Amino acid sequence: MPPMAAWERVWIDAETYSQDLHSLINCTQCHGGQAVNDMTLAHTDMNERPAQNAETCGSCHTDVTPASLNSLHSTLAGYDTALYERSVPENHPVLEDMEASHCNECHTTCGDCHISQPFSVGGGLLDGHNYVETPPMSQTCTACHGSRVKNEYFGLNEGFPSDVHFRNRMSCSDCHTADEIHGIGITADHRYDGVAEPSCESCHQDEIGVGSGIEQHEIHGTEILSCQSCHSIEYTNCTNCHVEQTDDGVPFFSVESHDMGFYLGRNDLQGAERPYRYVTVRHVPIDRDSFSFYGDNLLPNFDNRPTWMLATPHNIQRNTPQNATCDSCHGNDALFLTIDKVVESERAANINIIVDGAPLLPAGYESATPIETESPADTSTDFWGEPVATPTPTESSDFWGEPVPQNTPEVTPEPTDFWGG
Amino acid sequence: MKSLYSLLFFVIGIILIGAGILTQAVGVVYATPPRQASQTASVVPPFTDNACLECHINRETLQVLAVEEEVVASISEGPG
Repeated sequence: MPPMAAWERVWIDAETYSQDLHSLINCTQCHGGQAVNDMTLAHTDMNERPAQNAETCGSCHTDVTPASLNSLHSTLAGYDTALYERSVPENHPVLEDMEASHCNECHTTCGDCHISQPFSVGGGLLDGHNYVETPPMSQTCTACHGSRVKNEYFGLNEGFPSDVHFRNRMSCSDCHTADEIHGIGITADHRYDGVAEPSCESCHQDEIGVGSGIEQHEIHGTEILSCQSCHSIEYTNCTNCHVEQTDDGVPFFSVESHDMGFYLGRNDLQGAERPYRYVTVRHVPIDRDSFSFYGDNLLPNFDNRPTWMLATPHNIQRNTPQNATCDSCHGNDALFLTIDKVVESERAANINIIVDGAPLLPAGYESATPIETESPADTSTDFWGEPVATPTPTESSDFWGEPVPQNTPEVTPEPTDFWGG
Repeated sequence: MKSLYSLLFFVIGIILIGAGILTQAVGVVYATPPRQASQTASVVPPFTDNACLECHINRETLQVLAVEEEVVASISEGPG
């Protein structure tokens, strides 16, 4: 985000702002203060961020404001979900104090995207106080979502290319609709709660799954792997973030380590919206003692939630190391979150994420053999090793090398929340 | 024959006029209701805050008066 001079941050472009409907409203009606020529007096009791008050925008924009108050951008409910699930009610007040110092600044108001740069990254008017209907990506979206999404999408991680959509000049709002960003129609507890939006299918509906004519898509269908499993590349994983305050009360954090990695784990959020058996998982920076500055044992139920979580890396490529050949993935444990990649103290938390090992190539397929879409010679089982017309009483294994009881159709797991609850 | 055509046109005209009146009477039913204006009807008082604008639209004034905030180096470590 380019730096702004102090004057530029508060400069109103008279020529263009006079055409903005909002210019009909008195400054003091939203900002408070006084319309006088004394600078100090004028700014006394002035509200720099009037959109913090829902009434400011909501009194006119009744079609969007009420819903946006329930959006994750406004509620930051994802933080509460992540903390409270690992804690107990008696610890919530302390955790709320911690959040007030370290998290709440990320609350986003209408004005933080449509009028100014987000307050959490320093603010400053976007366009001379004009209302900007589609917030500029680099000044708003990636100003906050900078450490992972921005670096991945823009290709700022050294040695890793930018996202193919970025190279095709697509911005965040090309996929993330206004309704999604405003949270219209949903009340979410976390990022992957509810409808899977945006979805790759929205644009690529003819290129996904059986019938797409794309060999690997024909073979894998739509319920085995998330799109990112084959089309994203290494992404940032963080470990052991701790938050503290200086002696002067300035909050800060330190991440013990972070590195680039790519891991396929089990989908703990498997359901109708996200049916995939395997998904990309990212290590989130939480640790048992992340908040020990504020109190002891604030996360006594740490194992209630995984530390390796469903991730949707923003570094999509058509060709990736794992989709080069069949055995780039099949039999390649390096791509999968096997138990040896999870520290012992976190294995219980990730029991539903850890993979036994990479699935082996199905019978009849050899390493580096080009994938064929024709049915395998053995017509008693389908491509996944499951019986078709006349099941046999013996056990077989599915495509992923896991035993499948014969005569028992594969049961679609009941939708669960992200934490298996 | 001519009078027959005249009668036919007269009848068609009556039917069309009748249909028009009927449409007006029952109103038009939209397949989807027209979008409600997001703005609530409210009286916006006349703009009087010129004192604010006098400064905030003036680059030169702002360049003199706006104070650069001291940039405090973050002591946080690692991706946020």
